[in-house]
Amino acid sequence: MAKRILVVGGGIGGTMTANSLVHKLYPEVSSGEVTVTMLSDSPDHYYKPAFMYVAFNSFSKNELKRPQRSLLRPEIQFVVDKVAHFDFAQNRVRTQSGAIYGYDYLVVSTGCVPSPERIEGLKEAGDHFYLHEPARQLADRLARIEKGRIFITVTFPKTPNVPHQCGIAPIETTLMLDEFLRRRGVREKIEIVYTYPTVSQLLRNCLFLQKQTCEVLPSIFESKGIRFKRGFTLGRVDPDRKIAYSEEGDEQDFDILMSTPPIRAVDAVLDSGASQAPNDEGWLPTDRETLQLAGHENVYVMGDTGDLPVSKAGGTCHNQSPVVVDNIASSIRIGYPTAAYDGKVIAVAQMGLEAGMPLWYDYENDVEPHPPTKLGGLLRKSVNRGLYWAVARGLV
Amino acid sequence: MTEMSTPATPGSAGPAAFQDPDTQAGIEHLAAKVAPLLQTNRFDNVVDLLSLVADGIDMTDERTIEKLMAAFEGAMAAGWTLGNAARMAGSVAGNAAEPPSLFQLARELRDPEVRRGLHAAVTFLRILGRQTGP
Repeated sequence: MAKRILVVGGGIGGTMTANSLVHKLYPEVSSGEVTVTMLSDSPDHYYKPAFMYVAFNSFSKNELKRPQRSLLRPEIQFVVDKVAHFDFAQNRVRTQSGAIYGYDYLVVSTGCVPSPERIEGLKEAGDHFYLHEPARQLADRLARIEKGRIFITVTFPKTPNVPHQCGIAPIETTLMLDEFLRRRGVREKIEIVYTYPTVSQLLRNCLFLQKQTCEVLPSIFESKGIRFKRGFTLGRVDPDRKIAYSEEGDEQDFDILMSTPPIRAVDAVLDSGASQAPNDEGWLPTDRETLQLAGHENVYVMGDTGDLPVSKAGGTCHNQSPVVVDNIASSIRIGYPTAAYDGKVIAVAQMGLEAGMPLWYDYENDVEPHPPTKLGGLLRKSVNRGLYWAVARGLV
Repeated sequence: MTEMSTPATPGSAGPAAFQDPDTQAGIEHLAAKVAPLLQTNRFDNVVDLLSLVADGIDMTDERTIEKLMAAFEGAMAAGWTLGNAARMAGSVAGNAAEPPSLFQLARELRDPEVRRGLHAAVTFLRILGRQTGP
């Protein structure tokens, strides 16, 4: 009987992994000894990291969308059906349509869900750019604001040492916001206040989740007239009075509240019972080297879904994917996983509307910040405008 | 501390850098390496090339990248689709114990994916004809 590999999730992690599995296991796939199936809740694939550009009217929705089938190798069976229940003990999943899919190997790459409703008043009064519709709403507000105060907050998961979605995004969007408002000619009438919570993974009272970057941020912000504030953990929001309250006892007024909201795993992962994460966040306990789900050697966890201390971002999936592929291939061929993930994350940070800064780090080494350049910005724009689709196909 | 906000101005780190013995040795090695080019004025071409690259970077903007990447994605996606079809078709045909009979081939036409592929191929030829016509 053929070995069945099931990939759940049609985001960047699942897509590149399914394609790379077919490539890696091509002899077995072409002879019918291995099958690869992908389950996704959407027939379309969105380049989600670029939703933050939507907030600055740089991208439209259609520019960020491709048919999922067009990104997959034809050997992959692609099924549009949302997973409703994971049964890790029985090696099967049940979908919303009622279908049951058994597997020999499972890749869970279901992403995370921005959940502003988890903070009182944030959904009503706050904005964010992690989904398309909220990013559009934020874009309309940023395009029209003439004066006032834009207050930026960042919320970490309650699970210890787990970061928020895309670690660098709050800095990226703060710097983009500054330049966007300057281009509009209204910057002098708008105060930008960047805040960071007291606890950011293993750090306390910083402005970023890594120390070296945290230390260079004040001079950057000061050079641009951006105010910043440590120790502001968003506790609740009063939508009527437009005031953000911190858990530390502070209160700040705003005209626009640009937030990095709380996040959680998708419903099916939450309901699987496999997570011990506090606050019902649902992160799957993941081996930091093999990327296997704790207690289930045939289940691999990628990207946002796991409880690892690395960024919940596409640049993380890009480095985890080869490990998952190698481990499934070696398990099929020789009976045990052979690859180890070193925590590497590679990305190109958008530092303002034009400049970019390639960055990389791993479990042992933090990002070493260096001056953003136009060339770095062009590289990021190239990723946004085309290279991403080669990455999704597993070509880069 | 201030690397990101205030990039070093050219020459600001110069004197200290040149006092480093390893740097001095490296510069001497580099000078010896490029000496033939310098002595024959051919190093001018390298400088001109760097200047051209720098000009290109200065002139490139978001719109340029958008056009270049659209061309890249178009070519990449077309190559990917055709390559996938060729690879999988070759594999399926190669794995068949016997070549299919004409009757079996005709029955393949009942497969909607085959019909969609034929439709795409015929449409491709029509568009090709349109673009090569008068």
